Amino acid sequence: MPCQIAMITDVVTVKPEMSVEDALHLLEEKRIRAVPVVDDNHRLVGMFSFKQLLNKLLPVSATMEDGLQRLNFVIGTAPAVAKKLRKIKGDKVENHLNTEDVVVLHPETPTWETLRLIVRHGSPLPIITPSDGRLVGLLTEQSLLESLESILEDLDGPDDLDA
Amino acid sequence: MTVEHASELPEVIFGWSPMIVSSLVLIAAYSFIVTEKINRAVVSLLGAGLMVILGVLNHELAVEGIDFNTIFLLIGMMAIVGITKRSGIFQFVAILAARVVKGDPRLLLIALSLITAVFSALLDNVTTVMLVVPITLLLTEQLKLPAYPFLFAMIFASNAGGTATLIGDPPNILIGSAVGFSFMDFVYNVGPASVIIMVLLLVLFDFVWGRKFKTSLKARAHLLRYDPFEALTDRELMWKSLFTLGLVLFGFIGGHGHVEPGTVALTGAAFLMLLDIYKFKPEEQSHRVHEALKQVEWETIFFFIGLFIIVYGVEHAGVLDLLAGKMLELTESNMPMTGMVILWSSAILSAIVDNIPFVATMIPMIESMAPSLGGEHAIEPLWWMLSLGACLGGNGSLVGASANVMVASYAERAGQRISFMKFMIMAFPLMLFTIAIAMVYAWFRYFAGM
Repeated sequence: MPCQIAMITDVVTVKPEMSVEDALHLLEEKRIRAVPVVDDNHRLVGMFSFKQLLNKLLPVSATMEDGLQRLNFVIGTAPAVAKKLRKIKGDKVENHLNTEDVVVLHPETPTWETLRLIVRHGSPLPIITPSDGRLVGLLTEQSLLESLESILEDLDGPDDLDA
Repeated sequence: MTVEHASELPEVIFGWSPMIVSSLVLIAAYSFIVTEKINRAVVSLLGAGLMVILGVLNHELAVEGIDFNTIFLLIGMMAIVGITKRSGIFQFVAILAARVVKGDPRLLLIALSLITAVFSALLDNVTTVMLVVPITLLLTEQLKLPAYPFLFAMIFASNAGGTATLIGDPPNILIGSAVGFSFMDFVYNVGPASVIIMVLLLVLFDFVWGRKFKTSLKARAHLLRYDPFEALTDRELMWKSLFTLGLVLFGFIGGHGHVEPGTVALTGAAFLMLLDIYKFKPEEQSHRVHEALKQVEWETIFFFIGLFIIVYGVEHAGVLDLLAGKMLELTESNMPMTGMVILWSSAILSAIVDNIPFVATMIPMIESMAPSLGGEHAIEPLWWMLSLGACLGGNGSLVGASANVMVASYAERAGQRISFMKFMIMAFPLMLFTIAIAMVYAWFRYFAGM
């Protein structure tokens, strides 16, 4: 079973030029954690998520490779972090995306690999066509479980008849 | 280092001259190292293999060429620092300094440079900048200051500080080990030059950048809320590490003439590992030892091993004696002249290429100059010229020393890329200035009476 059958195709997307504030409203309104960002040709640019946004609120010295391991020595930063959030909200989504190392699936990605990636990197994961990088859908923890359930029903059905 | 084994040697293949074969291997290896197209450890190990396979050296001679004192000293210190840094003590010191200067950017530049210089004198330079740069980037971000002046100052401080001691910089480790200088010999001979240069650099950095820094009192107030003691993640480990570092330093100073520094460092590393693991079950012990040994930069260690064999190959074939003779002809066996040639050539070369292969080659060359210049004792100043030139020369460009490369890669990750040319335009003349200071120092200290 490639991951295609567990794919959600009715997907909300945002454009890179959208403001972070509008994108945040969209996440809240649709009650989702992340939304794919696509260009005019529907090619995936990156994922915009609550987690990604929170990551941007950290100082760069803590998010870089081999950077600071702990920040517990800095006290009373809440107002500064809040101000940083205000500044980011006015900016475009494209400036606050993780565009490198985006974990993606292909419609033909096999089940175990799909499971491994979603366990490791969390939900949702974008599914793109390998040839041109266009977004075809999303895979979530729920959609994957649902598709497995339906396979189980299919399996049980004919087996019972045979017996 | 005598050539007693010559008779046992296998013939060089096809009966070629060992001088030509070994020189070709050396030149090929060094050109790959200089162009940095292939990893330097791989190049040096391949070169070392060729020296043996082509018959310039046999297995016994190749092993004899490896300076295990240097290798053990590097491994031991890297492992000790790798364990010590888990305690958070290095961040503690940097944050404490920021608190002490009350977030004043002008004083902060001086304080962070001094910390970098002192750490570099006692630890490996690359490790020092890996510990100090991330916290510096955090502090400059909070103060809304450009990171560049701080990073520039750190590069110079790490190389100038590293010059001061036996263990501060790889060229010193190589020289100290080959000649048998003690920890205090370095402190006494190159230490003063390093201190003078550091003071002048700080004055200059303050003039160029420090006095122009502008930051708001509000931004400075952020820094006053830092709690350095929270950065100390493991106080017990900190005391264990400081105790071990103290013992190791004592061993370097007190053990001179009895125990090699390599033995002291490696035994110290084992002792600190023991303190770190004895309470745990075998599985956890093995995990912790594994993690500690992972902190050793094995790439550097194998680079040194290969290099020692390559250099021993050309030395054994007599190439370096020949070159040393040519150099003495050029300087007419004049001691101050020879010293100055070594100082300036090592500085300029070290700015452009890796200083380690250069120093490794220069050591046997200088050794073979001893008879013409009045014996082993008389040539002592030449070693200090090599040390000052090679260590300080590393400041000349962004690729002059491994610590520079490390600082540049952090700057890039922080989105504040340091351009190669922008750095060199200021750094190269400044490096020449520090060498000029070293020259004046050496002149009065060693050569004025000659």
